[in-house]
Amino acid sequence: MSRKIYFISHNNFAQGLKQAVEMIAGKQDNVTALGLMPGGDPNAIIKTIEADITDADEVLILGDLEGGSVCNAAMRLTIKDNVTLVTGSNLTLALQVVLDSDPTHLDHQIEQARTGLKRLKLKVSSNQDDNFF
Amino acid sequence: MIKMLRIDDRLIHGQVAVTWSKQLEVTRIVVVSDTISQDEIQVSALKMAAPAGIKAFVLSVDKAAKMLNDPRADKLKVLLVLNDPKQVAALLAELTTKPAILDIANYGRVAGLDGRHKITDTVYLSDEEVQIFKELSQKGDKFIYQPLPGDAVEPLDKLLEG
Repeated sequence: MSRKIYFISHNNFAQGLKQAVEMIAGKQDNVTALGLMPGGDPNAIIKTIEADITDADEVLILGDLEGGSVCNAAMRLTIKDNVTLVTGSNLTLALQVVLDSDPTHLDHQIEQARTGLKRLKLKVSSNQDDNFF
Repeated sequence: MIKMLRIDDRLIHGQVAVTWSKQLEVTRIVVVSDTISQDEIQVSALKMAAPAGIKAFVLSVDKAAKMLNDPRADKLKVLLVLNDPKQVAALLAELTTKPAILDIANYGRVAGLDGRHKITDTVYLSDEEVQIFKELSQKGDKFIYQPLPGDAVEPLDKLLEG
């Protein structure tokens, strides 16, 4: 049983997401990026995935936008027990799923990705090292 | 123990915070720099760049050597990050136990490429810096070039011959 990951999106977001992941985590042979281009058919993307997977694969699809046409089209794949679809993908989540491929960790990874969405403001503190050990 | 000493212009960033820290299962990331450790803003930003569960410190060369040579450091898993070959040489001279891996990953582009030779796509060294690494190598401090865990390990000695 092998794990196959698909990033799907509007336009080149999926390809860009894959390139960003590989810049940080190295080349990922089991990740495929598929973007819907203007005038393209979302079902063609889903057919590409369908042709690429078997019931023996453990399939994870990260989609860019819930309610968007690509995720809507991907919904029908989720009737298969071995296919999981997660929407609202971002770099935090994409990195987590390639670095830790245990499918039972997915809910935790989604939570982690959620906590990465926040305002970040520098808190200036003095340079202390008393808790080093 | 020191799992790795990494030379990286970008200090704590994605490749370090996300990839290597997981791969090496480190509990401490220590940036060693006599200049950055004096800069409150940079120190604060670096501490915030550490991933959850890992404590980050920014220490001068002397302070880092003192902490790392303390017997209590044996049970810690430490990733050192430096951005200056001179300070790397100074730190290695003071450490009683050497890092398990000496890795040069991203260097030379931030300081400016003028007068630097391209060693790899992400490493550019001046003549003086090449000399520092040759001297370190003669003392047994052999660096490798491996930006990411999945990349092939290339000995720096070999890259400097080319």
